[in-house]
Amino acid sequence: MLSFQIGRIEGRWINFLPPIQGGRFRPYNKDEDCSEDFSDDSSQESSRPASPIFDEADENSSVRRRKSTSTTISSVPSTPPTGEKFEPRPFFLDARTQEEIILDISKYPPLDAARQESIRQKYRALDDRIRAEGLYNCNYFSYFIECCRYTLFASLSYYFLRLGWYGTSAFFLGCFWHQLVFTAHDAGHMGITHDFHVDTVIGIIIADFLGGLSLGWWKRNHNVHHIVTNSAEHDPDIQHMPFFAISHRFLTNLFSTYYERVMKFDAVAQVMLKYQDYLYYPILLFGRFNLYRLSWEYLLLGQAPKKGPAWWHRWLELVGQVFFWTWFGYAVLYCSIPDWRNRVLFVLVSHMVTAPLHVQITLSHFAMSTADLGVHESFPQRMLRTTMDVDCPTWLDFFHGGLQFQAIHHLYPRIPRHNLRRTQKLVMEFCRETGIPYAIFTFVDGNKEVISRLGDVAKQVRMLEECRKACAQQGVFSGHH
Amino acid sequence: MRLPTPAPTSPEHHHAFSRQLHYFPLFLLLYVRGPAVHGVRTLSRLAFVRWVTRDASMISCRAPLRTLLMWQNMAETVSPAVAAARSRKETVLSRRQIEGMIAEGRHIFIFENRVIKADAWMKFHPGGEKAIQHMVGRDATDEINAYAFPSMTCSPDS
Repeated sequence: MLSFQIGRIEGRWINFLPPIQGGRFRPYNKDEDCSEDFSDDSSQESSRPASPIFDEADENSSVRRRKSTSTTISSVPSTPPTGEKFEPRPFFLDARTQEEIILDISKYPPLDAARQESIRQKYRALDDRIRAEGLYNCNYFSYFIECCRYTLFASLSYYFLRLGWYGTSAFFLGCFWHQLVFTAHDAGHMGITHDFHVDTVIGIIIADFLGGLSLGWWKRNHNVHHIVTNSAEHDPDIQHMPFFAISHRFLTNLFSTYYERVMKFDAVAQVMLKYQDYLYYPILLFGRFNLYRLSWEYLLLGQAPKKGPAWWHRWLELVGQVFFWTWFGYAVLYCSIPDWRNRVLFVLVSHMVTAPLHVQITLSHFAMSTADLGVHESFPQRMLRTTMDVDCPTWLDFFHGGLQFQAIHHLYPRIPRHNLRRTQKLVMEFCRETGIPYAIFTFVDGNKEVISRLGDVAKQVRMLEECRKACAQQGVFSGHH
Repeated sequence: MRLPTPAPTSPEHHHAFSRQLHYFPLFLLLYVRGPAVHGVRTLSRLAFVRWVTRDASMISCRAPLRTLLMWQNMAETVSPAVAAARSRKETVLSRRQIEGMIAEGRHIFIFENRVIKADAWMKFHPGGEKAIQHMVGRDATDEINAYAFPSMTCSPDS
């Protein structure tokens, strides 16, 4: 990567808002006196957290103006980055966005440059300490125990399948998949051997050959998720329209930069979101089917890198898919189970047993802030503001598979999962020193938080509907929608 | 056999060079079927190893990376152009200049006070293009150290 270096900078860098997030950049002409200009806007910028140069750069529509004023507190990025149209929307939603930002600013350390820089320095120092304490070294014995567990589940599933107890067999197969995914997650983060190719092959064997999903899809998705965690328009892990919306911002036809399309707040979404707090668990039962869809989309539409060190992963993954459907589809479903009733039962049970995984994945982010405090917030603060941990006894660690230390994992993604509990103590110390609150809930409380968040947004959907009805009756803005 | 000395400082050269290496499995044939002359076999084996790691040479294993850097150093002593490119890396760029480059559509981010232009690298990035796009115009030091693999960020000078 360093061969792509084109120069150096001096002094502290002040972040721009990236173009993908709606940032505007002025062209540079050689005649302008750059030194003066630079000192000018840097002094201006350090006094305000957002990037005011963009405000001056765009002087077109009134929508832009309105947005720009909100960027002075934080960059609430524009809805679609291109081809923006004026779309009327209820004022209370914008007010709500502001409210959440103000709430976060009051709870978390201030966004001034000095404070954020000191957080960064402490974060880097902690990384050195973690390395020195050997927490990056993988404990292979722990993975041996994991493997024993996987073998146990797989052989129980096989045993009951031979016996003809299809439901029981499907249950153990579901357990097997549920547990395997955690190791695929570690492998995807290079948390096992820390070697890119070895870990990726482990991951592909688990995810594709044994689980029928795509590791490459997961990586593409997950990298973005880790960088722009809980950002309504950028983070694919919280974009589940039309089923769930964890932020009121989804109620305004938001443009997803990951999927590159508008997430429509349509009639279906309106109905689903109104009851999303009740539909949360039932829908998650079908979560794995959605993963198949996303995986195939990734593999078949060629979203995988075709060049570079990962060029061959796609082909290995396709072989993995064939392998999976041979053993699962043909050998297990078709050859081992006699009738269609049992086959459907087997598929449903085995896939639904993995539902706790989907709860665990969503748990650590759904209840946390989705406010965007702009590009001046340091990486560690953003991670800790948008992620929570689950408090659980040590013996239950296997069930959560490392996802219970999600906040720590987001800070240091390459720490092998069995070391996360020890790292937690160090991170807590870091949080105390920097004044960043460390969010931790028990599994039950975390679930309650998620449900209440979903209920909260559902309430806003109802409110929006009421507004629209009232407006239609009185003919105030009869024109829109 | 003399290996070509590329100027790996520019990404375009990098890729042109790795494309040449595609023909190298021929050397495997030479190794397996060729005359049992020691030099031929050694060279063809070496060539094959380089072919296998051709795309990975930039990042995955350190050995090819080191070879590449060796060539770079060799090239530098020979070619003043390469030396110039080296010193270009040390040019101090102002924030305003970088803003201008991004306005032209370049994908530029900061890593440990270095200005990195990732355009050529984007489609090779195993973690996807989106991840890079979100870091354009920003200091990506913490993100890169957290996610990208270590050999990608080790300095060619060290």
